[in-house]
Amino acid sequence: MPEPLVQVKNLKKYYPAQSGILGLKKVAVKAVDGISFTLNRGETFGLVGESGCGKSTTGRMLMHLTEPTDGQIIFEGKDLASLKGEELRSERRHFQMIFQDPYASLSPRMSVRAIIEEPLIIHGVKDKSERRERVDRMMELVGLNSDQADRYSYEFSGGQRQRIGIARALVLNPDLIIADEPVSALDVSIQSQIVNLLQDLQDQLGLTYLFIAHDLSVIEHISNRIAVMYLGRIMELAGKKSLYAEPLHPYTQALISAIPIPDPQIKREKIVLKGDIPSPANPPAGCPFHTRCPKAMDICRTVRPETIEKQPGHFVACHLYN
Amino acid sequence: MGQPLLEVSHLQTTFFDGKQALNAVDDVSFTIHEGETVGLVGESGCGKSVTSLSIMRLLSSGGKIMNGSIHFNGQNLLALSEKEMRNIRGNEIAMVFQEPMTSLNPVYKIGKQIDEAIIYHNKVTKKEARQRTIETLKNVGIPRAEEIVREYPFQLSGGMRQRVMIAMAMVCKPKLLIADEPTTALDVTIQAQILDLMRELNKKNGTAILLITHDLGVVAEMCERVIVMYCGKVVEETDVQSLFAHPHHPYTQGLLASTPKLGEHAERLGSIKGNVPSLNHLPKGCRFAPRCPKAMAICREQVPALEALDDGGLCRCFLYQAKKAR
Repeated sequence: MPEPLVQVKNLKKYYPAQSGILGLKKVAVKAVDGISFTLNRGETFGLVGESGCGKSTTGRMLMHLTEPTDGQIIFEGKDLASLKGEELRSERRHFQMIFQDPYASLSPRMSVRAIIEEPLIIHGVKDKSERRERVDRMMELVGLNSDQADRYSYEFSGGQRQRIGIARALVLNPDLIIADEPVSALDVSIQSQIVNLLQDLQDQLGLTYLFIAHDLSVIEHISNRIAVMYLGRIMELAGKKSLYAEPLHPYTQALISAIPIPDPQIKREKIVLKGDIPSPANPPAGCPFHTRCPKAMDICRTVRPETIEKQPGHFVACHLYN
Repeated sequence: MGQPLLEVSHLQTTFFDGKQALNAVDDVSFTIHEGETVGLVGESGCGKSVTSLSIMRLLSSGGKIMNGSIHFNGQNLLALSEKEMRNIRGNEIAMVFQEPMTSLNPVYKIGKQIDEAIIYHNKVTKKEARQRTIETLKNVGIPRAEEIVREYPFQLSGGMRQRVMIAMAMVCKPKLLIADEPTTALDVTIQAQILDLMRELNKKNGTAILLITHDLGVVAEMCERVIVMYCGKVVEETDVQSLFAHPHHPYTQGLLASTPKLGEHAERLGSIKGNVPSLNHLPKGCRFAPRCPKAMAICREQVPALEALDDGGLCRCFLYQAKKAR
């Protein structure tokens, strides 16, 4: 029986923006517009979608790097969304983040040791030799040589830097790792090294991953369950097998059919969507996907579809199934 | 197969960094025929973009073509004057870059940027040029083309900008289009639209395409032939079916194993150990040897030659040359 680790309930992030003549009209950019999901202990939950769908904002809200506008993030009986100050800081150690760009997310002025050690200092590990030992152990764990701890991050390649970022995230023994596009800046041969490392670490340490990516092939490989986002909303949420074998939402269907498959033998009928992703500042009424949906009906233009559980564990927000 | 359109032979492009000379492209040869779509694959730093910039003679100041020839339609591009080269660029060979925002001029309206190319290469009036611009924009699937010509690049989305780039490249009906990672910056549903468009242009106008990419999925969908590069050298060249069915070079094999495939539920991905070496620390012998699971003693000593295999492909690896010698 899966044990829930984190429950996200009706999470929202609205950014204020101005439009109209002289910016007189106040509008809200709904980056994330009421999403709910549960992360079970030990699983990899994939969050997938195209640019501007709100997947990164969701990850940042879980980390409290972005304050949620509304909604709850329940972890061990507490609502993290409402915590502040010292209380928030001590809870936050249970969640750690791995960032997309290993060139931008590591300070060039700190040695690798200082980078990995910093979370320990912040969270009050005072014993210097203990810190030293834990940094060394972390470096070996992620496949780096601890002899290199006094070098600077710019002396490392992209894949090695991402290992440093992973070591920094793991050093506090977190429960949940939020990985925001952790491999998309890396070359293919390095990408698979990092994906394999993340899977090995999960097996060894019992970690839970929220894996955010735009690449559906990587998401399929690593995730147990997957949520597909579009313009701030979850369109479909299901176990990996049923999502890819039987995608219900027309958006998911188009997304999956658009992935180029590295096998020239396979020829598929592609669903090529018309038009662009609308701006989240001015999302379409009703179902946000109706402007590009090949199966749009009249109701889709006016009424926002409810999320229903079409099959056990397979949720979809689409009027076709209501 | 049509006539050979572009013949690159023994191309060597070197970048000078202080006293160091770095061979970003080292003895690269290949041919593209009329109407063909050829993929150039490799990871960052393998020299695939430098190859394309060498063909266009658009290398930045530090880079120089030291050796080799590039024949286009029988003409050696390296022997042309800068003025003659300008008549070919954008007219007979056009290029599309990865990041459309940095390739479009932000202070000129879309229409003006495309008109410019037409007026430079053809004897037409401004009005005729504008008409052709609008027509080409419509051909690449831009809605409201008459209005878009009066807009600036920043007013368009990423996918639309890439369409504008393609329109600009296609407006003089080039014989060869070099597309350097044309869809890497785009979302997957938009990528599908752009690939569709390129395929259509290839069919309708017979434009040959040199598609530079790191994405093997894109290669499988678009290309007839594939060239794989590693550290400035071609390591394998073959038709697309054999590349995916029987990759020969251990590097190609490693790349394919590293790529997650939809619907294939492998526990772990294959991978290539280590990192791509930097150009100033290239290993002796075969450049892939330190990462190669099948490396032999000879691989660390000598550089293998690019040799023909029985199935018609080319491969730079001692594994196959040893078999032949025996």
